[in-house]
Amino acid sequence: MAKILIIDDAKFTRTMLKKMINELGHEILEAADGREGLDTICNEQPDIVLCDIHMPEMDGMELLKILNETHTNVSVIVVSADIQDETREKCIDLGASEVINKPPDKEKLKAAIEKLLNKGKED
Amino acid sequence: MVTPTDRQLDALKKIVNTGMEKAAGTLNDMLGSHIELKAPSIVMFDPEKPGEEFSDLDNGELASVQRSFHGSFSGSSVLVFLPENAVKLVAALTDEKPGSEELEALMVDTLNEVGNILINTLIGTINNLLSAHIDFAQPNYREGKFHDLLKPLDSEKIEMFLLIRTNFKVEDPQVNGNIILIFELDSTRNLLSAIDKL
Repeated sequence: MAKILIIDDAKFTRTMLKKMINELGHEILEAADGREGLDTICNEQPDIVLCDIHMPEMDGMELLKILNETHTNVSVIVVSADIQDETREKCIDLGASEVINKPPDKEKLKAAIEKLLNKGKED
Repeated sequence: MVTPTDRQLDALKKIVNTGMEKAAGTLNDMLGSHIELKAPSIVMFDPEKPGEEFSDLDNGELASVQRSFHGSFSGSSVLVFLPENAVKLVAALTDEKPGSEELEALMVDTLNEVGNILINTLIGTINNLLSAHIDFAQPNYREGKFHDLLKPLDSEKIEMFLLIRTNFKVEDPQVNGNIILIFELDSTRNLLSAIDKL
């Protein structure tokens, strides 16, 4: 069982993601913006972070930058409504493992999580 | 004064249609229901002289999610519902009963996120086709009369702008909605210039 942190200011999306991850049997942590998410990453060391981009306080891009600069060892899957090509490229450049569009497709999310967990085992 | 040519209008309608098809696809994924689309209408809109084309939205209070955007193009986008349709949509998405306290507590958050997803998908598709990029402000839920909702949040200036209206209809629950895109005058020139380069 992995520990997965969901960072999104929209309760609607957190609820949708929680339902999907519950079915996969993983432990779930939640945060409503990037700052709260960063604190949770430091305190709880999740295996995977599912992170929105556009959020108040600290957005997903800023969080990715901080994780990148501090060499924090956590895999981030960006889950965002922003489907612009440039946004996707920026997220990958900042170290995101995957970018999934909202509303998240359950099978795509499951495959992305399994890929990262398997990669973690190999490492 | 900017007047799009027939070729520009035709190309813009096709691009907006492509964006709306994708946005309808996301709503279909969320609701599991067929979404019917109407062809978009595109007009140079003068807020001082509103025409008849929005008379169906002009009769009372509306629920809306507004997002302004800046970048290759600047303007704002508004997802508009009649209030009873907004309630039906949130009830279908959250499995809460219309009129319940639980539903009331989820209304703004859920509509903001639906607006976020639909508007991003529509404008993101347009931008990808035109090799453009914009940044969005946070979504903002507002209730009011149609013409008040068209006023930008961050500006008092009222001038003529390019207005794109799209309309979608969810089959079950029966919900009508509109996404309205407003491009400021300078951005209208940039948009038409990007279309000319296609």
